[in-house]
Amino acid sequence: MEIKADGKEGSLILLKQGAEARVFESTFVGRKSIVKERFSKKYRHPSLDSKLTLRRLNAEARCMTKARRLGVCTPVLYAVDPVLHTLIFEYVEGPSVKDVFLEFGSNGVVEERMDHIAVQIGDAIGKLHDGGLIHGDLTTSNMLIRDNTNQLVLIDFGLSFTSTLPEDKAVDLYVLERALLSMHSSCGNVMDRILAAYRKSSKQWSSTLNKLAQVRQRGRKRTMIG
Amino acid sequence: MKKMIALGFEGSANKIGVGVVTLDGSILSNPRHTYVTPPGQGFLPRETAQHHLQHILPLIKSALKTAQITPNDIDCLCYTKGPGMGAPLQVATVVVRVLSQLWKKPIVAVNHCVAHIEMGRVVTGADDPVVLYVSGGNTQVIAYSEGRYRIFGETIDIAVGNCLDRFARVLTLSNDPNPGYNIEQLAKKGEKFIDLPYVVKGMDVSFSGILSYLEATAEEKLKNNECTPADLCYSLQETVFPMLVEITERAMAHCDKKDVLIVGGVGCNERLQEMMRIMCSERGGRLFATDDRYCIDNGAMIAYTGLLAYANGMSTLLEESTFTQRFRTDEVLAIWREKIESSNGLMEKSV
Amino acid sequence: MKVCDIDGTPLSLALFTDVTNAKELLDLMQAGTLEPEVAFLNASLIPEVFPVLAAAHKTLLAKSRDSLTTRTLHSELVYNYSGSKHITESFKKCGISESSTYILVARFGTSVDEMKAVEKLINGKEIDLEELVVRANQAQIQKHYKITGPELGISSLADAIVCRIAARDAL
Repeated sequence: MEIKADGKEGSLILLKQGAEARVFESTFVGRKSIVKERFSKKYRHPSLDSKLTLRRLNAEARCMTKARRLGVCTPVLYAVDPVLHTLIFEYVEGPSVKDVFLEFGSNGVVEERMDHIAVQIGDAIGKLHDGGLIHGDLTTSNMLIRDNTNQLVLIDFGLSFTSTLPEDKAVDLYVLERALLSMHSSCGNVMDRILAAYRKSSKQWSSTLNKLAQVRQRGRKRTMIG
Repeated sequence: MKKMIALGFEGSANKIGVGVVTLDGSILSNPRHTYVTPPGQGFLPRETAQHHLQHILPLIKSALKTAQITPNDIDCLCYTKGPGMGAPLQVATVVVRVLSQLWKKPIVAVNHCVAHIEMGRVVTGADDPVVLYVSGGNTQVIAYSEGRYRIFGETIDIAVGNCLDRFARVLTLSNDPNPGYNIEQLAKKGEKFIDLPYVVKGMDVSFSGILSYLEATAEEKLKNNECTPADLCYSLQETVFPMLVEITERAMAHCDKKDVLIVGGVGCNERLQEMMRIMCSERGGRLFATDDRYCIDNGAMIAYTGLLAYANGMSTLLEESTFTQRFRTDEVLAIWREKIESSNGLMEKSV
Repeated sequence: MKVCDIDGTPLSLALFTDVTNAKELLDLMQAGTLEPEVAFLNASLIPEVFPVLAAAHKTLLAKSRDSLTTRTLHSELVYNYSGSKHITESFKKCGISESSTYILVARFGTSVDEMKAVEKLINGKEIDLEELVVRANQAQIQKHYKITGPELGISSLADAIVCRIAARDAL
């Protein structure tokens, strides 16, 4: 009889304290894993807080698995605990796209790598959108590049929801465009490359991109009275 | 050596203000006058501009008198170029052009949002915070990066202050001193929390859904005694402020900054400040907030920000001293921050 | 037979092929007289051990909260493995039927005597768990878990199953 016991099973190592969750490294029945624990926000009304925490926990579990069904890589979901507000999922080895782009910003863009990443981003979002899934928080912090394979992995689906409206898809892209502008303006126009790939990936690209133009205009036209 | 002095004019919305400041941020005078409309009404461009015209000259006299200076002591004239409402902006612009000719003084055009940030920084001593700029026309989460104040998050429809103001009209609350203040006071008596749409998209927020929900249901709910006006104010604050705190926190995590500065008219709200303070302390950071002397639009913030630019060699030619309703925060090259960051103490030397 | 550790609780697994007395096992189980209590899983739907461990993890969590959906710890394991909310359907598809010949036996606990007793109950040939991967029925798995082509482009069968087990109750 063979006993497969892992001494480290269940131990938690804090990796990151994010805006609404603590992220730990752990093991899940023998596999290296991430434990993401959503914590309550003391500034929020308790009933709003528990509603949001649970809604986002479930949205994340549902949407990250739905994304995989659409052929978009996300970490494998291992477990959901609605009482402790935790998700356990696959540990993806590799840097965030944010780190890769910041590196490009300071040491120069590696065109081939940049192109490979941008194409994957556009392709992944196109697949999500055609499948009626809106990520809701597309920033470069929420994208990882898997070591060895350089495969794009999307994370952080807490603000995700299902919708087929061009408006929702356009705002999803707009959020990403702004995140790129504010954080990675020294990387050149990454968004154009992403949108080129999106156009190839999404059958409904035309209505979405028309809407995106309107959403952008809304941002610029707002008079913003002091 | 004589300290550099600037005279600043602000008139982008319903307040007209004139301020006198020195480069170290001392405010020598900062009078202003607010155009208050009857309950249930917002301010319209034409009437607001009329109001500004009536008050601007007495305000200039009063500002100079309180500061105990004459036009000769002034180094530059600063005015709000935008963003804001066209007609009210025009008043200060024209006055500054005339004074510049009359007194032979250079002009400095200032971005209203950047002015709020710089005033907030100098008053509170916040060095490199994430800035939440919340007012009747603006809702932005801003942080300095690579020479500019960059917008990380913002409203994708109406500003939070606009949402509050328009809700105050639904309840026909008084506009004196401002609708937001009256919502805040009434909210203190609220007890029942009513579920309202909570809309955060990445680092952006949306308030139009909340407003239309309230506009559609408030009357009915009040009539059926489901809740009181106080409950509605309370629930509105307890919904929109957490949205603002949440996107601010997201921006902090994203840019790895610890402190928060709240500026703009809505920034005076003590409940918003309280929530933000809790969030900051949980992250080991600090909250910097100002009271209504600086939060609310004023001339000193324009004077101070213009003076920062002027001390770093920037000014605006007469023919370029225009105004614009749309003027994004990230269009401004914050040259003074680069210089301060590369060599500390340059500000003093440049005098 | 193999014993796996689920956050401190052992789970014993044994894989049998050429089983001839599935009907008898089914009767014992339905009468509640199976001694010791075990879970019988349709091994054709199991491409490797990992999804079973994920289902076991979910089962133990529900047990610790006193929130089992089915009658026993072991029936809960079968229910959880199915990734479906439909209990009867879960037992039918992921449990055994009268005609089953290929069965994975699972039991929480490590007592050697108990597992010996289990082995005695089953008329069949015990084989190595490594056999799961070659004997799994991919078509059946894809049909039961509704796994499509695009998903298999980025995922193994086992990972696809684990996601469904984990996300089932996230509503």
